[in-house]
Amino acid sequence: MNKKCKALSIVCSLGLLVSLPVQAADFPVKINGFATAGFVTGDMDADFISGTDVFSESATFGADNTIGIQVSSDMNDQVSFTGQLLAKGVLDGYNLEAHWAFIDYHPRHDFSVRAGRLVLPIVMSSEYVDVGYAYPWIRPPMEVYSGIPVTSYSGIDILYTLNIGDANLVFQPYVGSAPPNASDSFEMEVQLGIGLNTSLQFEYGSLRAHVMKVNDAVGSSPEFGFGMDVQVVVLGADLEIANVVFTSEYMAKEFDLSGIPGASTIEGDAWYVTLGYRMGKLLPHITFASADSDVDQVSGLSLIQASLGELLGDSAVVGSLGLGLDELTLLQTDPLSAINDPAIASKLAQGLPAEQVAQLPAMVSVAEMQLPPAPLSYKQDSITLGLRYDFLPRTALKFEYQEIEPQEESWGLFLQEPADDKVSLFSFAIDVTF
Amino acid sequence: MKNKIFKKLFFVSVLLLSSTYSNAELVVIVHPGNSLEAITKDKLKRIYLGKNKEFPNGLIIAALDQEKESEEKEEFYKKVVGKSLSQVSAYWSRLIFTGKGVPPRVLANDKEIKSWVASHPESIAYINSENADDSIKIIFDVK
Repeated sequence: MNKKCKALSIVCSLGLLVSLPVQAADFPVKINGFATAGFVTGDMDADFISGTDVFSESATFGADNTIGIQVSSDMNDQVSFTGQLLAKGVLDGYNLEAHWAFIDYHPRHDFSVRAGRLVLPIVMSSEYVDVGYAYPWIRPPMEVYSGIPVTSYSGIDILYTLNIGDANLVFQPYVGSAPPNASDSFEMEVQLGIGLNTSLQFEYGSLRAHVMKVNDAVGSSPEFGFGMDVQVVVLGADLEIANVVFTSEYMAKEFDLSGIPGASTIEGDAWYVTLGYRMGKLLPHITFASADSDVDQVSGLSLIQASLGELLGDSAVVGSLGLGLDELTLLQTDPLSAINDPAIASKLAQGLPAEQVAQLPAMVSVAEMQLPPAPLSYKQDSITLGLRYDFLPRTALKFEYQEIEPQEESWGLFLQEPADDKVSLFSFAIDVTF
Repeated sequence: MKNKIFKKLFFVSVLLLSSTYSNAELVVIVHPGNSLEAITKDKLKRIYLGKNKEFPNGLIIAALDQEKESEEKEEFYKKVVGKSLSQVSAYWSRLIFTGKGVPPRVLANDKEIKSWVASHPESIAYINSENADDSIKIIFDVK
C-alpha cells in the first residue's frame, strides 16, 4: 500500500514535471522583432518625404531608426492573436504606435479572416515597410511608396490561398477606416476604404495587383482641410532568376478633390525598376524611379488677382475699404505680400464676400507652396545605387547613394523648394531581425 | 553491416584528421505512419517556404528546422530551397511581421528532432543520415 502510494506520487510528480513544459509549449507566446539604425547625409537643404516618414535636412541620424516588437499567440487551432508595437524616429523624437493588433480566425490552412488594426497592402512592401531587413533598399523607392499617405487602418481582411500546381494565388480583400495619424507625413482621415490585393507566388517570385477605393477622405494641411475620393491601382513583380534580382512596381492614382480653390483632380502615376545581382552575401543593386502627377489647378496667385481685380475695379468699394495709396499699389503689384499684411487683410475682409475671405488663407497657401502638397502631388525622378551586405546571421548592412531630381515646377517630395536641381543623398543603415 | 562500416570509417577519420567534419548526407524524415514514401525537391522547397501546407493524406504539415545555423542547415537550404540562410531569414521576416506566415519550429539537434518526428504524425524534418533509425521514415536524400 505504502509502496503503491509512493510509486503513484513519483509517477504523479514526474507527470507534473513533464506536463509543465508541455503545457507551456501548447500555448507558446512567440516574440519576434526587428530594428534599423540609419544615417543619412547629403546636399539637401529641405525636408523631404519618403514613404510616410519625413526626413529633416538638419538631422542626419534618426528618421530611419525603427524598432518593432511583435508578440503572437495561438488561442487554439483556429484563433490566434498578433500585436506589433512600432517605435519610429520622427522629426521631433520618437513615435510609438500599435502598428498591427489583430485577431486571426483561420478555420482552414488556406483561409483566414483577420480583424483589428491592420496595415494597408497598397504597395508590395507596404505591410513590412518598416522591416528593413526584408528588402534590399534602405528606403523603398519613395516615388511609389510615398504615393498614398496612409499606413494602418482599423478593419477586416481575408487571406485566401488557391493552390494551382506549384503556384499559389493569394487573394486579400479588405475593408476599413483610418483615423488621421499625426506621425505620418500628411494627415489623412479615411471613413471607409475597400481594396483587393492579389498575388501570384511561383518558383521565381511573385506578381501582384492591388486596387483600392476610398470615398470621402479628409486631408489636412496646417492651413485648411479638404475632401477627396481616392482610387489607386498598383501592379508589381518581384523575381529572382539565377542570382538576378528584379523588382518593379507601377502605381496609378487619382484624387478627386473638394475644398481646394482652383483644384479638382490629381492624376498621377509612378514607377520604379530595381535590378540587383546576388553574389553570396553581397547584393549590389540599382533603382530607377519616377513619379509624375498633374493637378488641373489654377494657380493661387491668379485666383487672388482675379478676386482683387474684380474688387479693385469698383472704385466705390475701394473707397469704402479705406486702403492707403501704398496699400493699393502693393495689392496690384504683389498681391501675395499684401494679403499677408494683417492691416490690409482686415480692410479687405470688410469689402470682399465672406466666402472669398474664408478662402484667402487657402489661396495664399496655394500661391506660396505647392498645393495640394506632396505626397499627394509631385514630379520627381531618382537613381539609387545600393549595396546590401548580409555580414552576419539576421544582420544586414546597407549603403546607398541616391540622386533626386524634382521635375518641372514641382518640388518633388521636398517640403520646401530645394535650391539645386539635383539633390544627392548618401545613406547607411544596419538592419536586424529576430 | 553497412552502417557499421560507416561508423568505423567515421571513427577512423575523426582520429586521423582530428576533425568533426563528416561526409554523411542529410535526409528528410517523417513519422513512420505517414503514407508518403518519397517527395520531390520542389515539394520540399514549397513546404520549407510555407507554401505547401498539406500532406497528400490531408494532415496539415508541421515542418521542423535546426536551431543552430550549422553547415548542415546551410547545405539543406542551398540544395533544397535554393536560398542562403540570410535570404531565408529575409523571406520569413516578410511573412512573420505581416502575420501571414510562421516559419518552421526549431529544435536544438537531430536527437530532439528525431524524437519529435517519431511522436508527431504531421511533422517533417531533416537530419544527418547517421542519426536516422527505425523510429522515423526517410523520404528524401539531400544531394
